[in-house]
Amino acid sequence: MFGVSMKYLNDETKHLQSKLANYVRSGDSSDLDSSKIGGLKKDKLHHYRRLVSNIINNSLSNAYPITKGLLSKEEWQELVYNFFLEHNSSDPQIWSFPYQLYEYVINSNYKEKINRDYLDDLLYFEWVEMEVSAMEDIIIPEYKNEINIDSITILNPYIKLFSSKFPVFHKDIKIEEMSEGNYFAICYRNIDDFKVNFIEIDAISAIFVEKLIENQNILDSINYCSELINMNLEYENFEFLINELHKKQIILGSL
Amino acid sequence: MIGLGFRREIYQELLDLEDSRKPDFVELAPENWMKFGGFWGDIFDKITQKYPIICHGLSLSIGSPDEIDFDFLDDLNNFFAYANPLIYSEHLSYSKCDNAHLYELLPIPFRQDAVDHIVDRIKTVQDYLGRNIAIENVSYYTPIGAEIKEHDFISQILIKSDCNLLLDVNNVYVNAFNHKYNPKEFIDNLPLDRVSYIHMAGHEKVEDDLIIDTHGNDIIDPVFELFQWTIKKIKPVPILLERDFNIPDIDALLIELDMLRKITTNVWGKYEILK
Repeated sequence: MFGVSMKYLNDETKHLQSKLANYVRSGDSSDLDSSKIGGLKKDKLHHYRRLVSNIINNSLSNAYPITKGLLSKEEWQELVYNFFLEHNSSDPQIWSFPYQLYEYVINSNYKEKINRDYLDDLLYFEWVEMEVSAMEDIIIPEYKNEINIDSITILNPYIKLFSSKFPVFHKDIKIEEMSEGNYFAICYRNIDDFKVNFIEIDAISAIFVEKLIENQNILDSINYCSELINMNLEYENFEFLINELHKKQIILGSL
Repeated sequence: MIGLGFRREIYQELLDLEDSRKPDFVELAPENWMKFGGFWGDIFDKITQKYPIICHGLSLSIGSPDEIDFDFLDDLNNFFAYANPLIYSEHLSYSKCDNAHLYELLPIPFRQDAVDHIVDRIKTVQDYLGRNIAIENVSYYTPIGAEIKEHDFISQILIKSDCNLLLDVNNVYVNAFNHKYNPKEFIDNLPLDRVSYIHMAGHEKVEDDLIIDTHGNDIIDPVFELFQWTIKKIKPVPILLERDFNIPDIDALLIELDMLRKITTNVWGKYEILK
């Protein structure tokens, strides 16, 4: 019913539009020749590039203040420039545009290019805080505010499990003091006041929480962990964690 | 029917305003609010409970050489079902090209093939959304490959696609200055019976021969004068004050809204809020 028609626009007009867009991304105006393009004021073109650069820079600087602060000014500017030039942003919503910088850094192995091992982790840490903060509201099913190990566990729906090689979520830690390892955290949004927090957990707890997120009950999740590490784990081994998660409203209760 | 562009910087002031002082509506960009929860989702709900809203989009890219993004239209439909805006308007420009969003309003070549292309797209969008849209005349800092007059370009699109005009009076003033034409002649050459909404804003002169449409300053007197001249020629429609940068305190914004209200009341008398 809603066919997509491109039958009207001729190639010359398409190319004109493409040349202007390409200039805005690259800064290279050699394709825009005012002697060949009717009415073009080449000396005014730079305003479009400036306006776009402001939007892109503001979006990324606001999303990644820590990363921006850790990279040198030149490194940050080069990252933003390369990203905007090489990456086609598919997202009509600019608030989620920064996620694409993270994807670009991963896919291009950018951390090696600038010799910053922590870059992927740090960008994701900063992004996930934004993502959890803005997650769409959903209706939480009615539940009992108690822990029942063999009933369906009702979790706070606004959570993201986070794993990293560097403890980027540690408050006040200096980058040069971070040691490489396997770190896990839960990023969660408070139900009542919408504040976003991180809680660090160990590896087996991360697996346990991952299973809860997959809709397994507490008992099944414990059993899964037991099998995985080939040890007999009991509820008591997880009791402190479960109580903490309940207290922080990461576990809301049971059906 | 005088409204204010909703900015996050002034959310609390807008929520706190007593009814006798508040704008008649607020305008917001659906792209900045759809699929948003948490704190700002909560603020959005409170704002829409207090104010009627008009949606003014940023990313439809109606003049794009790329294909229409139907997933985005689905998101708009869902958002409109939730937010129930009085009007949905967009810019007569393109912001997506070669499969990349650029998040800025680029000028479309004023050409006949572009007219036909955009008419086709507007019809498709209107059918898909099940509503008429309003298209805004945008400010631009250079023409690119123009073959027909700007007013002819806009008029043909409005008439052939049967859409409405969001007349941005400040943009007319900016373009008339930048491209050295008479703003009143330009307006007279538009199909003014299609004006369904008006934008007013401030701007910044950045070079001797160039004004940028910044929305970062107060409206200047010549733009107020052009506005007064214009509204004598059209039926009553909602009027919006846009202020996106250098946002002053709410009292200063309300004074500017009052100025717009006085002008419209003088010309149109008191008129009904949109239903």
